[in-house]
Amino acid sequence: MTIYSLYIFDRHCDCVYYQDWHRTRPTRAPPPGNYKPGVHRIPNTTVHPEQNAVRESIFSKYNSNPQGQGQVERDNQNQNQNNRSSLISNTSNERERGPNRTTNTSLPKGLPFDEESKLVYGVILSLRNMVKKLSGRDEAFTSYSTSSYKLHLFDTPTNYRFVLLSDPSSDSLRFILRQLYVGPFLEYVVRNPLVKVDSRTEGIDNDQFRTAVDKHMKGLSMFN
Amino acid sequence: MSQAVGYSTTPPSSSSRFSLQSITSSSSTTHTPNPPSLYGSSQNPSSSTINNANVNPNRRESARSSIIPSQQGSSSLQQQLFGSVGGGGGAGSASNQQQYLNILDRPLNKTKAFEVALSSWAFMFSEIVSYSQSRVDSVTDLEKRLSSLGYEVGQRILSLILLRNTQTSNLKDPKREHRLIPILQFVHTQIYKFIFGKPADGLERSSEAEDEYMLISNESPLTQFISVPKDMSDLSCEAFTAGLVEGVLDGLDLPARVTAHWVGDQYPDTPQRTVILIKLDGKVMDREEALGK
Amino acid sequence: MTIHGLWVISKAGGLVFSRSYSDVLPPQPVNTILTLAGILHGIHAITAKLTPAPIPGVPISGLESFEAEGWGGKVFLTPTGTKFVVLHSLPQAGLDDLLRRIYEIYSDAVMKNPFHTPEMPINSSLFETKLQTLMSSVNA
Repeated sequence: MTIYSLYIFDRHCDCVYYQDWHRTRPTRAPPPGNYKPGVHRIPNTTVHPEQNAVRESIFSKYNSNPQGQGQVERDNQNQNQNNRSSLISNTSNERERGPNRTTNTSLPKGLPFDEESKLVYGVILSLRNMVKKLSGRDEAFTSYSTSSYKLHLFDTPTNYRFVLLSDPSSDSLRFILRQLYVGPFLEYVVRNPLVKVDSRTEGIDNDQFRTAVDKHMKGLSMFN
Repeated sequence: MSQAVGYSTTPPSSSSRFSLQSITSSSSTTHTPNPPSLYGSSQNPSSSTINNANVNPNRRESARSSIIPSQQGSSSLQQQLFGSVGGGGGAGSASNQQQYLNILDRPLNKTKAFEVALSSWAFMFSEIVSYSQSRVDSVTDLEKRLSSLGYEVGQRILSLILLRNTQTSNLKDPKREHRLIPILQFVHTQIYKFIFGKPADGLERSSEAEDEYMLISNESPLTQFISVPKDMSDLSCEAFTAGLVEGVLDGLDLPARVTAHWVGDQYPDTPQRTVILIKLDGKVMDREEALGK
Repeated sequence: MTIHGLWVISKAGGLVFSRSYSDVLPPQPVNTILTLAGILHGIHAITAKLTPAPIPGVPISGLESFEAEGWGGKVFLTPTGTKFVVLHSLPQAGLDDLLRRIYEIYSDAVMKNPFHTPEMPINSSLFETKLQTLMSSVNA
């Protein structure tokens, strides 16, 4: 049993939050034109090494450990600084680094993040409509699975959609999504005046939320 | 590779597909080290296959005899299709090949372990029907075509069964039925059992006409997978069986007009019930009368 | 387990057969099902692309099943690309066996029928009768 990734979509069909754990085929950073701040912290593996060295020291650490585990440590470091400013500096860094994408040997094979999130939402939307039409009631599907993963969907009354990808053998994990909604989401997004909810240009990412989600997931029995 | 060139006139791929299928079903065979081959030359390594194919007047036959490989499964498809280079060679390699005997080299009186899978037959028959269908204009013509195919089969099967019966009963002088009722029973029991693995479900005499007999089968293995579309509802693919029966009867000097009729609509329990109607020729009835009881 | 319905989708994504076997799900006009089958075909392709962690040695597959409240669907993909979609109630014990059985009936009654054109709508009374028998034994 394991958990792969979490997506949160808002009512405008935009992905506002993304985090992943045990992905062996990680998603790639989106092209700079499609970059949306405050959604994900996907390591941009296509950075020039020299350029990287010029940057703050945390980035070398960042790159040496591109999987999820490194992120929290970095987040903890950031926490010492002003919360909001770190977010901004982080995003501006990514923006600057964007155009420097060059060939890199360790280029992951996954889709760019913007495409992937669109596909996830597209699948959810189509499957949802199909289920609705078939049953004749206003109900959503709860999960679907393939041979290698299972996708769980949780809708909030305010039309946020929480999507969790886990391994295919797991039972329904919607309760976790609900826990995330009533716990970290309410605490660090809804009650956080600095998060621009419903902005369409920015995600809801902030360090406290990310840490809380990570902690919650790692505390689950099915995490590993 | 030279073999492929030599046999450029091999039968169409459908027949080789079919024979490949029968390889798998003939896995346990007792082997005679140098099987008496009808077309042994094609198996002989000393004669080049190209020359062989050109010289042999019975070229098509020889090609056909080598479709079925005498080689183990590890051989290439080419070899499987066109026979192997060293086929029937030394005694050492012969033990390797005992599993797959050429269909023409098999002992005629052996039937065990030479059965062909029903699915293979079903797919082939399906092809036969659709092939025939693309070449006819009407349901009647299609039935005629199937019937004529069955007729050929019937004649061959009759010879084979009579031969086997003679061999198994060890009779010095072969005998065959010549009276009407025993012949019909022979068809009902032996022929049907040979083709379908079970006797027909009924043999009846028509109450209306004296020269009409009916062979009834509730579910024919031959056509059990076929469902005829509504616009050709009077077609019965059992026309093939009808032709087969006609071929057998003709071979026993019992000329008759044999047709197949689907009667499943009158029997809800057996929706595939089919009647093979045998209308005997007038001269048969005359002869029966002359022979008396 | 109750079987609500069965669709057969050709490898090009066209619906070639659909039947309803219970009245739990409302009946749909054929055109709706035709559209939905096409959508499902597309979803199947996309879901394979979203695989987050391919298991080495296991081919990446698309959508295999989905669940809604009280019912679900299962997609069975044959090696030749034909899809069987079964809509069923939950829980669904013995569904895999049933799908294999359906596949068997399909190969017998459809593929061995000389009057069937591959990739075209299935028009075989034998197929329907055999399925009806199977479904009534499951739904009983």
